[in-house]
Amino acid sequence: MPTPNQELTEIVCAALAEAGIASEKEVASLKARILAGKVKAEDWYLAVENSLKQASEAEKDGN
Amino acid sequence: MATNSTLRTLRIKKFRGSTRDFTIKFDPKKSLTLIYGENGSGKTTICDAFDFLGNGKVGSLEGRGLGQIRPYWPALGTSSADILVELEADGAIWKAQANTKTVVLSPKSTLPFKIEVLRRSSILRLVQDAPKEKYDALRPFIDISLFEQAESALRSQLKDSRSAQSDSVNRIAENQDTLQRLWKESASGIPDAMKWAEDVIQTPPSNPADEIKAIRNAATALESLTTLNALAVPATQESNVAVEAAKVASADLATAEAEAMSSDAAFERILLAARDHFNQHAVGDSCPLCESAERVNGLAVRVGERLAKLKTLTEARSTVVATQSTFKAKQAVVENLSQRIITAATGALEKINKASAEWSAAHKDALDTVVTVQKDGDLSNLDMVGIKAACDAATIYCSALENKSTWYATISTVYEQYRNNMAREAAVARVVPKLEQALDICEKMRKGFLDSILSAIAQEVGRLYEIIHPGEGLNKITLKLDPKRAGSLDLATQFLSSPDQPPHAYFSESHLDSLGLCIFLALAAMKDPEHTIVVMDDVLGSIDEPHVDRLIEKMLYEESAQFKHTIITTHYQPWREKFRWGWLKNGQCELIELGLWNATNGIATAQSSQAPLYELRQHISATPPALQSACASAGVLLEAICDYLTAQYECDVPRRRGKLTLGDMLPRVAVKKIADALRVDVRQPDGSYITTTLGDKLIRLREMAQLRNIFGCHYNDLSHVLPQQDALDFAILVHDVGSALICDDQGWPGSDKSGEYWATKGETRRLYPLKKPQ
Repeated sequence: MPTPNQELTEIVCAALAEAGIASEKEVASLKARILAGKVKAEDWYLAVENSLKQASEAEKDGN
Repeated sequence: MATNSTLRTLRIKKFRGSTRDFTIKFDPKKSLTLIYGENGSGKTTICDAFDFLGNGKVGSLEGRGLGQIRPYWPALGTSSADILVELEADGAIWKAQANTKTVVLSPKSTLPFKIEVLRRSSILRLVQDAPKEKYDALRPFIDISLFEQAESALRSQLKDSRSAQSDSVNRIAENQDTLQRLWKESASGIPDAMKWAEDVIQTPPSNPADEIKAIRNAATALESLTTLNALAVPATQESNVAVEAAKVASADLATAEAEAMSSDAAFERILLAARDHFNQHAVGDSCPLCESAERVNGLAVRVGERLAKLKTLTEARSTVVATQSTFKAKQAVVENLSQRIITAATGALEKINKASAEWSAAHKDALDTVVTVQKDGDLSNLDMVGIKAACDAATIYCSALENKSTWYATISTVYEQYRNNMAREAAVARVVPKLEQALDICEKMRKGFLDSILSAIAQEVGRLYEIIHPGEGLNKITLKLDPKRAGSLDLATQFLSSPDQPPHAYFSESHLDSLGLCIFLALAAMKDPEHTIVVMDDVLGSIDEPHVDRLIEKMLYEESAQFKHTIITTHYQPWREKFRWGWLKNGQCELIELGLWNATNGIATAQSSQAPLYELRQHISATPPALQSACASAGVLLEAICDYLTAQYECDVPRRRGKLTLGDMLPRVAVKKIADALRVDVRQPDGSYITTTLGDKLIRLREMAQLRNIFGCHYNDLSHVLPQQDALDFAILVHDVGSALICDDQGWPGSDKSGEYWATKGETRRLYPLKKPQ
């Protein structure tokens, strides 16, 4: 049975991915860090920044 | 009834009140165990045993001011090492024993199920505890500390990013201001400052450092020459003075030599010896040296005069030597300086040649004098004024070169900063809205998540509370987190028409107890109830009679079905009696009665009080049948049946003080109008029903009722002559009516929801008619 931490983290991370705030890959990494209690402020920035870069590169590849 | 329970036995050895081995055997078909016993019979020890096994503690000893409570774990006179609590469940035997520090569980360190224990002493804590303790109680359901930590980190990052963005914007403005100023100062004619800056940094100046260094070296060398000149002038003057002094000394010596009679040193020594002699001896009649008496008078005086002339000569000679020496030294200094000047001039010329042509050309005349100096070492030819001007010009020239370099470096640096700040601001500007959106999602979902959990708990508590206190629970109980304090939870309820009131401010103790019980059950049911054993130790203490009936019948029986097993201890005797008489739904419940505890035998189970119907069945089926007991039991059961029927059909019975007798009640139901209509549909295992008529049996029983007194209640001669078969027939007939009417699992038919008949739960019995026939 999932703990409240796991349950909430799961639904929030899914919402973040769905809203396009972070890629699936970055969300997965973020989720692991949250549940390990090791997430730092800069992890959030990097998750968003990396996701933007990945999106930009994907767009270039697409073009 | 289906059951989740896999509990088989609980064995308690040398633990608390268990001075001897004590074992409870659980009915595998029942998931609710009611343990009845008077105070001091060992109920709490049984609950403690579950607590010890499941939670490694003995909760009944906590909060009693005992300090260390481990010494009180073992039964009196035994040690912790003797303790053994053993539960057979899920096909395994789980053992809990105490070691020096903790409770050791085997065969594994954790149970595959939870054990939740609620005690009378702690029931109010769930209601009255401080918000923090309430939060702790609910922590397993609402502990999102890891997520909150992550959300806090996100909030912090958003703040930092906004700050960084603002900082970048400010720096960009500063960079633009600086470039604007420099652009205006340059008066370049390029219309845009940024375009101008881009152009400037495209054409960087050559590195001025080498040029500056060469000019500075040349200037320093020239300054060295001027320094040497400052030394050379006085040295030359001193040399000239020394020459003059030597000349004077030589002339003085010539004079002294002319005046001296002899320059013979040996002669001077003779004169000195004579003076010493005359100082010690008087001059005699003759010269002590030549023994001549001629001119002997005044001889000592004349010797002194001759010695004085010789001293002047000696001094003149010394002066000549000294002045000659001085002259030579001064001359050496002058020569040395001259050499240094030539060397310095050579070095200066080399450095001048390496320095900027522009600068050296501007000071050619002055610099040419250095060439002359190099040739003869004579600084008098050096153009000191021109050289100084060249040195001053070198400083100005270098400064100009440096300023140009600095100016370029400033533009280049500021423009680079401007571009970097623009890039940084752009990067952060892309991320910040995403972070804001992420924080918004986190905050909303966290709040929604907690609200939904707390609302679900509050709803469940309200639902349970409503069962005990109709009209007082539903949608009236709320759980709220304090937004200003982490880990703080408030429980509130509506009192009269006023919402959000603390229940402990208004509720009676009975209400608070039942609220605490509801909270406990709601929480226990929220997390994996099918793997949870719930143990409640005498929790009905202060709940008053009407509420305790609803609590037992309508809540505990229903709610316990969802747990793996529920164990309730009680000293509430009416519960036991209602259980015996079948007024409760007994299908899922087993009753275990405890006898009186004593130190020798410890805890012991008592012979359980059997249900009268069951008891009657035992007496009838005995070989030979126990007629007296059967008639006595049948009489009691028949009274209960009549009591039930007269109440259900609102029969007229005599009103008087004291209990109604069989003679008062049986004639009221065994009358044709009712008897013709009375029948029971008894549900069979396959779901079909078999109808049993009751009226004819009751009419027969009315005729046979005296047999109860003759055989079962009194000493009566008639029992000697009446056929024993009559007694047996009476007992069997009562048993038939009882079996038709009372379901072993669901008790008496008491629900009129059908509108046609009275029914038990699950309609195992349907009693017709619903109303007394008119």
